[in-house]
Amino acid sequence: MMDFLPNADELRIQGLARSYARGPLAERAAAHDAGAFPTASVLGLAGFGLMGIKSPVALGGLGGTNVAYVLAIREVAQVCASTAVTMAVTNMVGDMLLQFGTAAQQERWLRPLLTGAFTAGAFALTEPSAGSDAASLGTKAVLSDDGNTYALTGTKMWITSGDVAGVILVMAKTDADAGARGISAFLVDPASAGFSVGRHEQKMGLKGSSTVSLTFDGVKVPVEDRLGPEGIGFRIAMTALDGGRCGIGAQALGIAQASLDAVLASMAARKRDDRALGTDQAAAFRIADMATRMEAAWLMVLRASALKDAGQRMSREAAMAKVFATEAAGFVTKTAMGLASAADLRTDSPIGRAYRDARVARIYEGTSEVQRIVIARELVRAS
Amino acid sequence: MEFALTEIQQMVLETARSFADNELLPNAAATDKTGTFPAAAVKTLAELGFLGVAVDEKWGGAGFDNLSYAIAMEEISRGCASTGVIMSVNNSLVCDPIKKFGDDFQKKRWLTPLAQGRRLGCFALSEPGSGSDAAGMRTTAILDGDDYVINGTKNWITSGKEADVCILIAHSDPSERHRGISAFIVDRQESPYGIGKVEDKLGIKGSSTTSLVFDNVRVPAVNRLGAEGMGFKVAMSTLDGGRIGIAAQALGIARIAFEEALAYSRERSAFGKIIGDFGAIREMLADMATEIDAARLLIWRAAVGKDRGENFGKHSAMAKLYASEMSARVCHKALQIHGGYGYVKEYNAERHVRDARITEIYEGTSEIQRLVIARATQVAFDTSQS
Repeated sequence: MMDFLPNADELRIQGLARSYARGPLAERAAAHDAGAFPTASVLGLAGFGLMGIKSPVALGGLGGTNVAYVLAIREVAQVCASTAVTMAVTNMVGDMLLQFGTAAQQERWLRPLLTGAFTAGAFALTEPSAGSDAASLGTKAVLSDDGNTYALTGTKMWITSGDVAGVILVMAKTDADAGARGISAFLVDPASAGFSVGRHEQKMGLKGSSTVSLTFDGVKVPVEDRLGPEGIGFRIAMTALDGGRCGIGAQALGIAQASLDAVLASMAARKRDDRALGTDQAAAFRIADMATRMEAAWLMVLRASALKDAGQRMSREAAMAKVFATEAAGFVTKTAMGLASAADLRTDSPIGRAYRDARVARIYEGTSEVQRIVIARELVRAS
Repeated sequence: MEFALTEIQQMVLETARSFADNELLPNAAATDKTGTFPAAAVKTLAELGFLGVAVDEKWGGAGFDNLSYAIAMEEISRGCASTGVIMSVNNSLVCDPIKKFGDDFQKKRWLTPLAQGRRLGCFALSEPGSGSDAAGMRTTAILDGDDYVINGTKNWITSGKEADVCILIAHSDPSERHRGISAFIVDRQESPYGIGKVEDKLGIKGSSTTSLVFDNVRVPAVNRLGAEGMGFKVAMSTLDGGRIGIAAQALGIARIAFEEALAYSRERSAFGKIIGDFGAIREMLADMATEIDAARLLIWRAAVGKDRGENFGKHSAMAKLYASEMSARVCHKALQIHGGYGYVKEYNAERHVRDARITEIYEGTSEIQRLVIARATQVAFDTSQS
């Protein structure tokens, strides 16, 4: 049945996220935006199981659905997008451990991720010269002669939480000549010798989240820390991104909601000053367009998530949800700037922050251009 | 959250799609060219139950839900936009208000034959001098004994020529604005009214669009739909539902435009490869498909809201606004992908552009939808703050 209604468990998980977001997180959001990594907020969310929304309760997760996941991400992003992206990446790494990891790997890496023993998880795919074309990555994993250890060498870039993560999921080539099929996935302990954190990027938004480059200089990784068999790393990465795209769509819409709410509040305040902006048609039309695109985008995010819950293929729907939601958020946060008062245009105002935070959603976890390539490929495949 | 159609909804989809593929698509270009009312198609719609999709079986309808109606409207309009609007008006603007506001006498006498397709309906609200400002209408209905006497002219009436049951909105108390308006079921056999100018339109040429002329037309008082003074509410509530139908019509037009453009892009070559393998074309196709899906979700959300008895006005306004403007964008791009062939009648791309355009105007212009949405968004925000 087509109901568009979250079930009771999904509402419960949304409620957990909402109460934490509107409570403790709201008090710290401005500090996070000023650049303070949200350690306390992340640990607080972990205390409610929100670092592993889809992971089993027995391991410290919430055993929720993909719909519950996007509901929760949206709630957190509406209050603090920096915390939301940190939470999203940790959840994504956990999901991959859940889907591809052995019981021993889950015990060693997933449980601490969920309980907050690890501050975060990181996902290392992109490199200085391999972004959208992920299969062209250059990081190598060379197996030792005795077959017990890989040595990882290379540099990863734009890695969210790379400096605070307790586990880093690294994609590297085990067969340099096999293209995408030569990529394998590894669970790397950041305490390993040869691992180092490079530059902390100065970003226009998501200032509370950490974005770093990582260097692997012959980092030894035991074979038991390889996730899945050799050669399926690209598949793991693409699976992660299909789910991740719903999360980023939800994050973008949380940011957009914060922006729209701030504009409505600002307009209402000015209306009380007798300037009647709220009744101005030019303003009203923009509000209508913002609300309509957000609603359509949200339905797309929910659809992709619900299809994933039903075990259906949803690459096309996830790509549509990501490109539509993140571009809607771009439109909403930009339009909000146009409706804002002068005070709202401060970089640290809710509208200013949302404008800065929304931009990267069209870039990370697959740019808008890559989403369109995915959609077109799926269309041609189906035609 | 579930995202799956029920067996009945799936059956409605398949029935409508196969009818569209077999009967509507092959005739749509000719219907447009000759401007002929698609009588055979309308007859089949009746046999399929598609003229009263969401009307109870008790009253002669198919007894399906509003989501089924939206699904059927999309598929039928994909086959033929003119047939789509005739179906939409009969379902949303005629059956629906009788179902919601009519008494049993009225249902038995008009709803059943309308839902069965033995009669055809039209809806008369707009006038030469009043469109978006519906309360500014001039047509009067003055009680005289057991009859109302109707005087005035209604404009842009879809199916005006063929319809023989008319939902008429008129001033029963001209001294009042909204509160002086009442709704009537005018039976053309019982109360003959005049058919004025038959419009020559840009698109949806198979449906007739006429003015209706009421010159001392007497309508029995028992034909009044709802209480006196409730007519404006009847009209607005009817249009809330109608917007789902028109949004689905716009979506169906976009669907066929997109499908033809995709197929063309796989056949046509340029610079040594098929144009569908160029990034520029693929980006257009990806955006078209994405917007089509977004519109469908808004429409389904509104229909499900209506089925659940929610206040669905905001959702249907969003669906109508987005789907109609989406349809214009998609049809524009579909024509562009066809190049010169898009501009000539050998292909259908130019017809889709013409057919889509009206969906941004009738049953509430995009501008009216935006006002409705802005107001609802403001109210929702104020409620959340208090």
